Amino acid sequence: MTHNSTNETLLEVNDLSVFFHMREGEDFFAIRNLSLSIARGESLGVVGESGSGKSLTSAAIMGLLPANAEVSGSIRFLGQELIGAKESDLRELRGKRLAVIAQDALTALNPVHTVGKQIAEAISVHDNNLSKSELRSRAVDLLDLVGISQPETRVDNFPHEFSGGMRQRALIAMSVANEPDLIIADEPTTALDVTVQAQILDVLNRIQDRTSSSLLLITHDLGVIAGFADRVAVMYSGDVIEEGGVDSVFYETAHPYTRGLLGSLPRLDARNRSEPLYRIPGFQPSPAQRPEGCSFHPRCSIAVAGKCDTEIPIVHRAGPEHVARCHLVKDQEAN
Amino acid sequence: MFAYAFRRLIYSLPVLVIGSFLLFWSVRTAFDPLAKLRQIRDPEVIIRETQRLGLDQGILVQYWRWLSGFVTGDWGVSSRTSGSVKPMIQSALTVTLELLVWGLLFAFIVAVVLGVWSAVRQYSFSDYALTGISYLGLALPAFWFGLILIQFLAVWPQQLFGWDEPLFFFVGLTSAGEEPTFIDTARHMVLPVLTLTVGLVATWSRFTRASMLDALSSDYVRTARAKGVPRRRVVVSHALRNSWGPLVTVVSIDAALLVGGLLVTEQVFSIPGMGRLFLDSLLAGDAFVLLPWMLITGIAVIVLNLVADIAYGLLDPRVRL
Repeated sequence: MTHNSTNETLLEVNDLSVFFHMREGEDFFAIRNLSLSIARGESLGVVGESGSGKSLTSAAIMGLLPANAEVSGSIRFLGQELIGAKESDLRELRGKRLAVIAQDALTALNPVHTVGKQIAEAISVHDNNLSKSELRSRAVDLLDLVGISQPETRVDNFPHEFSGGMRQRALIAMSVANEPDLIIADEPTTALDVTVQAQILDVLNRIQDRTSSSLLLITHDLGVIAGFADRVAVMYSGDVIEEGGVDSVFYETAHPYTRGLLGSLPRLDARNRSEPLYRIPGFQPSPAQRPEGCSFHPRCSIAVAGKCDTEIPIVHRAGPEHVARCHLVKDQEAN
Repeated sequence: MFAYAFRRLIYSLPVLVIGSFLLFWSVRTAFDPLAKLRQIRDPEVIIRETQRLGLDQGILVQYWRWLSGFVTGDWGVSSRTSGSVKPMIQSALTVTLELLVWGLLFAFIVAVVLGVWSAVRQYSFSDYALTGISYLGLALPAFWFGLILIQFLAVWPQQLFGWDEPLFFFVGLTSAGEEPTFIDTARHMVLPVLTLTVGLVATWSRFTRASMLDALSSDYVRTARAKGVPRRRVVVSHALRNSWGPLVTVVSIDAALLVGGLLVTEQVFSIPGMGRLFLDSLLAGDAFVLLPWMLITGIAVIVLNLVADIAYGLLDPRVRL
């Protein structure tokens, strides 16, 4: 699904590392040398197992990492460096140019304020010239936009009076209130059932078309990526190990981990349905105990002894606008 | 809300009736109202008084006579002072409530400020310092801390500056023989209120800190920050606004307990409040004062519980009353 994307780079993350100082136990890198970029109007899907650092990447971009995290590298957004930026500058961006749709709609809304008040707050913190009634009518419009029926009465409801799907819609309304340049959707459909999931994605899609925002869609659902993103970045153990156009990554998969992920999907057209699903052997290592060399090598069926278990692989070009961090990928000529 | 409060008050009537009967029964079995007369060893007098007071009737009849007396305002006569019980309890209750309202208010404000401060700066030096000070506050016995306050804030400054009278008084709540003025009352209040506050602040600020930490690490606080809401406002309007629950519980329980006894504080500062009245009556075996005293404190517990429940409803829209 291609939106009106241009070549202008909106967000560029370079060599991002997030390091945790632990009060007990060893310090560790939760994200290691991660790079990715998003053009204006583009949708980038980020997939990976739980614990691969997807949500942490979004927190790093928003500047909302926990206090014991140390971050290095560069995050450039609209030409502005976010790492080391002043809190007041970051606050200006948050919610206005850079919005996040939270993961768990059940807990992401404040239980003691009405939905309308919380949406209005997203607007009023960046523009305090609006009157109460103007804010309210903006909140009603936004609820209408995300497909909540009877928004005039619903606006005064508290979150506990909303269903799960409605809360997720309300969160979307809140994050798009100021028509941000980049929306980070952190597993926006995880807590929802499949039909509601499709509706929510549809809402996101419509809004993105309307506002020409870029979207960073974090998910572990490859199906959502296939239907929704222009490009995809696959994360493993705190790093992007493969990145490229959705078709290119899905059909000309370069990294053995991505191949394993795609291979473990159940398929309706499988020849032998009684066969058990493929699974990648072993578990993703904890970031505190990453193996030497390529962090995937203990689980990799084609790992080369003496190389994969000693050297951290560099990024190789697997095709036009398609890269993979694997020793076994042959560099292709860029065209 | 009003319907709920009304319903709750109606529901609490049986509790009061049963509670007051148990009170009456236990006090009636434990105390002999004629103990003093028995020293005279005149059986005539004993019999006459037994009949006059209705002590030969069944316990239910006696209870009923006592309860209807209580409800209609006839609380009987103290065996200790021979004075009417009602004005005794009224004046003691007024004094205690005055002390209590200021103490609770002051302790509440200080506890919330310190608790929020501590939570926002978790694991910082000031957090550790405040934690240490609260344990100290918990460990200070009121009788000792009250005396320390008297020495440090009243006696020594007076000697040091050669004043005619101390800045803060430490006997009673009014100066004897003078019309009570606001300034005069305030000068009497400072030290007992401080004594009362220390222990309360120590516990309450811990509760505030704990529930603030919960709230600050919640998803909705993250959402608020992601919207670009300034830190201060996130703390007050999102985190603190969600943290009142445990504090309401502990404040209402403490307040209910204190209605009956600031025993130590009142003793140290010679304040004629409910605690002292209880102690004096108990030592003198004055059942006529003890009974209504206990009923009043029981009512206070019920009312404060009701207030706490209404507060939950006002503070959290998920609580339906």
